[in-house]
Amino acid sequence: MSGRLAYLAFWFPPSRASGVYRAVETVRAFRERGWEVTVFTVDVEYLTDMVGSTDETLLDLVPSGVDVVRVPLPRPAGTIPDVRAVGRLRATFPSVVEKAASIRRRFASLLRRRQGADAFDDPYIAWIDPLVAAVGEANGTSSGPFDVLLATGNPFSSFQAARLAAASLDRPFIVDYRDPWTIDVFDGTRAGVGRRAEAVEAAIVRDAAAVIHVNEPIADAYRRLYPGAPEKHHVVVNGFDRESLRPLSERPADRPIRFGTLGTINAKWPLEEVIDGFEQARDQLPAGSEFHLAGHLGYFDRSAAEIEDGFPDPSSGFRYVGSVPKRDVGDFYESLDVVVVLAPGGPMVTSGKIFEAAAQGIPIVVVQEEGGGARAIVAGRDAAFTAVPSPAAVADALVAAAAAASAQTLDEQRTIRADMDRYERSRALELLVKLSEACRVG
Amino acid sequence: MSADPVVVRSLGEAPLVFGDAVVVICGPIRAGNRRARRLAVTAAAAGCRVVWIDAFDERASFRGDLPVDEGCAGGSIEWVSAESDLDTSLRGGRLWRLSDRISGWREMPMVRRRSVLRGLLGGVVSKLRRLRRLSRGGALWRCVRDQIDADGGTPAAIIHTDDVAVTAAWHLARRYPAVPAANEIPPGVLDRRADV
Repeated sequence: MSGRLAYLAFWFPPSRASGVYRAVETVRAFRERGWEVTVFTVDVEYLTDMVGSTDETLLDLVPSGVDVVRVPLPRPAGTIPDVRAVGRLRATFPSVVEKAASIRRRFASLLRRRQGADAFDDPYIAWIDPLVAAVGEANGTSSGPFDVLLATGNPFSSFQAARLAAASLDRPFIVDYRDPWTIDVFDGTRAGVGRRAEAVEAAIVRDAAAVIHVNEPIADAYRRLYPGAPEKHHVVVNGFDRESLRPLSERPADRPIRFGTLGTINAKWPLEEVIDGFEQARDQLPAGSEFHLAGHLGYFDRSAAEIEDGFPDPSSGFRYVGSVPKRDVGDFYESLDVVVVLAPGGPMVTSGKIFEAAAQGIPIVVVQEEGGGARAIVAGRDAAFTAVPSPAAVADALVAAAAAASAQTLDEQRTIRADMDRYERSRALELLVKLSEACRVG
Repeated sequence: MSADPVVVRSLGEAPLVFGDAVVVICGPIRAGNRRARRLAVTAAAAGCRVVWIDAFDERASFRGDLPVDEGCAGGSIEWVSAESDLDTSLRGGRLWRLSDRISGWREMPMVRRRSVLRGLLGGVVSKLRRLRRLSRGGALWRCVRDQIDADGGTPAAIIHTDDVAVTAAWHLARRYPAVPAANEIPPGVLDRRADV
């Protein structure tokens, strides 16, 4: 069974934001099952100018036959078609006039919030109206109407746009929470996003045909928060892509151990503890052992310098090797003997990279607090070691993992990989397609 | 096509010869700088000569991001750093350190003391002005204005990419009233170039 899907994904290639792979693979899953897919995403100029974090190679990952509609996010400055039309005051004191305009906009936004029940605090709220209009416009084309609307968040303005567009088109909609909205992902308490946002989320969950989460602890928290329809909440884990797996091979016995981690490095990672832990462990590791850190430095280009400042000297055996294009991810893992995953937070934080890292088959060290979601994924897996974010615990885990790497056989790698196959992303996304098909029937 | 499609220099090094270039101006704002980069590369790729006047702070590790390796396809980019000129202009010249100013206070004649006090006041005001970023647009324009070669031709377009650059673009647009001036590449500018 197939249909026509409107997919609302603010972050989509060439963006390199964290949710992009899930978005691309979601599109692929629908295309492989014969759906027509129209993606509604933000304009490229917003990504290049305002966010400054793009990766053109990611465009190659978008499956063929997908329509991509780029809906510009309205920006404060807007277009000035002729600078001569700007008044002398603004031309002379542009910063002051822009500041005044910003205060005026904020005041107007406050007024709107007082008047409109659906207004809520979100930096991307201005995207809702043009997005709803774009979905409505595409719905009336020769391809026929959409069967289902699917929105991925954050930004959660996409959810509200899906709700409004679905209401106006009389179509079902599904929301895919890559992170919880009104629940704090780190401690499970209310996130303090404001009463209006909470009310809007309640309306979205009430009206949605299905609500998707990335792990069971988050789904459970939402079931408790909105007990009205617990069956509506489903889990679609992030999973891993088969192309990102290294070829299975035994490591040469005489090689020093190379640890490594891959992912978008951010300030919440327990990186300092891992650096110190590796330093402590070096005496117990084969001479020449190294720790390779790979990935973008932060989600925005402004974050890079601050994060890089914390890196130790390369003589410590710790190396930052830069970002790794998606097509080279398997090669990076092939260069490692032990893969290390760093994750903050508790049970709700699974970390998108854990599946890919765990499926490589080589020993893995997960650094996260007790009870963390990433630790739960590798619980019971062979050659998996966990550590709380403290240098001593990390050092112990690294040493144990190094010993496991030296002793591991090819058969053991195969067994691990077979066990982790259940987390392959296309399998995980089957549920999302099935739910959409069920909506369509309904 | 010139041998080196991307030329890097500072504002004060040589007069600004616009010729028929697309002039891109950005202030010391990161988003504006990114826009400037995109627009400059787009215009150069369409075969235009681009003069990119950049007041972005190069201490923010910008230099490495210059589009030197990106295709200019017959066009060229002359990247003119205005950051240091802007900084100097904002400060109104080099300020003496406070300790230098008041050393020998007792021996100073009254005229000199008054001068020092005025200097101190000026220093405070200058700092406040810098803090409030009130005059950045004007300062950038003054830096640019003083460097324009009057006989250097008429630009094909004037593009500003952030709010601070509005001032310079506004004055420049009044100097060349027939030239399209906007915050994106004005329609027809690239087509016109492609026809040549």
